[in-house]
Amino acid sequence: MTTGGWVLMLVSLAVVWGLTFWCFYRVLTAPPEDQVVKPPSDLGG
Amino acid sequence: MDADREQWGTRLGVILAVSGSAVGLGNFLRFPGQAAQNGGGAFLIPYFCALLLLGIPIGWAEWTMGRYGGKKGFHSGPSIMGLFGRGSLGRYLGVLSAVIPLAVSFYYVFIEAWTVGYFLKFVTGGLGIDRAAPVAAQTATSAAFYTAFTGASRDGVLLTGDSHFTLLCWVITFGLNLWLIYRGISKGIEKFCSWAMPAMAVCALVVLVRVLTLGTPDPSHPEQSVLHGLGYMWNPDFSKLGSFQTWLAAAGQIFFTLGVGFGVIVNYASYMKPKDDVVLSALTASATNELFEVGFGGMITLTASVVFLGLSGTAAAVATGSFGLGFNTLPVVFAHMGPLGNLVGATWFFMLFLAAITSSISMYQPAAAFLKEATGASHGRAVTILVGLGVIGSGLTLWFTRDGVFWSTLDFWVGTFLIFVCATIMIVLFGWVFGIERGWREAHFGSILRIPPLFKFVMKWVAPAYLLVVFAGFCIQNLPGAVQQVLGSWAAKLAVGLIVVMIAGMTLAVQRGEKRWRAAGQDLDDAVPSDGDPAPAPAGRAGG
Repeated sequence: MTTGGWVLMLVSLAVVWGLTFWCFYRVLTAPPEDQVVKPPSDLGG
Repeated sequence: MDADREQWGTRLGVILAVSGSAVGLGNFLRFPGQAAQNGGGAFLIPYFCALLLLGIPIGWAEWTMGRYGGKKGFHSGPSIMGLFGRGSLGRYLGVLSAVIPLAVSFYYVFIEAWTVGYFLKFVTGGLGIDRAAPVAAQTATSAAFYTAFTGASRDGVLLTGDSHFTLLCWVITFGLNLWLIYRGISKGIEKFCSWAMPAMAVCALVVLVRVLTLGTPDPSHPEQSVLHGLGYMWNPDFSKLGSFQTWLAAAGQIFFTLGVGFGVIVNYASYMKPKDDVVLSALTASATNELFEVGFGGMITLTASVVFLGLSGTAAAVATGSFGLGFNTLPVVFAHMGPLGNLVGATWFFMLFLAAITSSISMYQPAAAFLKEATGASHGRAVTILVGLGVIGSGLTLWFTRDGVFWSTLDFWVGTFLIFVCATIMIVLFGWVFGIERGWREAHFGSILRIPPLFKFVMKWVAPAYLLVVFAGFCIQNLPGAVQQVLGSWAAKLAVGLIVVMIAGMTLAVQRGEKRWRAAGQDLDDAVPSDGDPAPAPAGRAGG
């Protein structure tokens, strides 16, 4: 296993694990659907 | 009018269902082989570029299209693409999104039955591979089982031969799929995926931990170690980045692993509540798929193979393709793991079964939704028709097994070629016909996250262009050979004929559906803006 291999493996794993955990954290802590209705004002809300 | 009022029970439910649809055998078997053959760790650079510029943007578009269709009371690809295409042309092009998942299910459920068969074999003692025999003899034993189980020796052997084990596995698999579809969106698919996805993650973790703790089992072969196995997968060959083939392979892998252009995401998203978030949900489903692909698939498969079979043995296994690696080589690897080998093998194939069934149920659901919408059939009747269609399609797959020509032809033309076409149509309808501004507003209605504005440009320009370049490259590389195969094989001709018949049949069903939808007063041409769509409909769009 070369240094380049270690770097690419660890960065890739950090990206996929980090993104997944962050997404699920946001999903599980998001307010109920009925409180999220309008888009941001600059998007026509 | 809404003929199909089913909805997802929870926000998490739809995410797990779409993730389950995306995570399949390719995550564990195809991805590592593609990476190893195209630069190792360096492959991840074009891979993540494609994820960012192709996979996630098209995913956002499809989720948005699906939820918008659901607001209008539509749940099938043809009707939803009719909304976004502003008329009949979109609907008829959308036939592909109903044909693709059903046609793929004909052979996918057959392959899913392999995972059931291998799981049962490992639970009851393995494949009979002798650990004391030379590796070549072990591989031959494994290959002989594979050939017999999949019926690769001659057509009809699975139905007329002495053993009906494969048929039994297929009946179990097919029955379970249809039962889950019959149970419905919330009680069937959502409930099943809600435990199947965590169970799949646990199985993957168990196998990963076992593989990473293998060390160097044979001190006389120090090169056959976990570190060398990881190195085979991850050591970068940056020279490969200069090859178009590497970028093509990476884009193709992202495209197929996320399930975009398949007709499933639009269908699943159509059962969301009108105010449900699609932006974060789509991103979460993509991230989950990547976790299984890179986090597990990239760490387990080749590492285990190198530890027991060495670099040359693994390279040879990768060259045989995903199924050769998964069903020929890995059983040999498990046999080398000692007393726990059968347990690890059973866990591995159970995990593959969960990956496969969460995908296959997503293939039946769009067809069931389309049958209900187009013909007015009840849910029970639609499932009954699906059983008939499945028996015909899968029956052909089970009969024409010689060398896998029949199902591999279906896989090429439907599971690859038409998916490219369908995804291209979808992203063009979203960004250009429906309009990127309107699509952007619709995507953000009820959204928990805001998509960076740069992606408006990506979704309108970059993703379609990227897709077209990849599609062109794919055609140049593969079309001549595929056409030759069709011309040279009756089984391949039959597979193409089946596709043509399905497209013709579903086109007629769309024609019938149009009449029903108009008679019922449904807004099938998107003449009335929905909630969250403050923009007035452009004049003249109600044609069709």
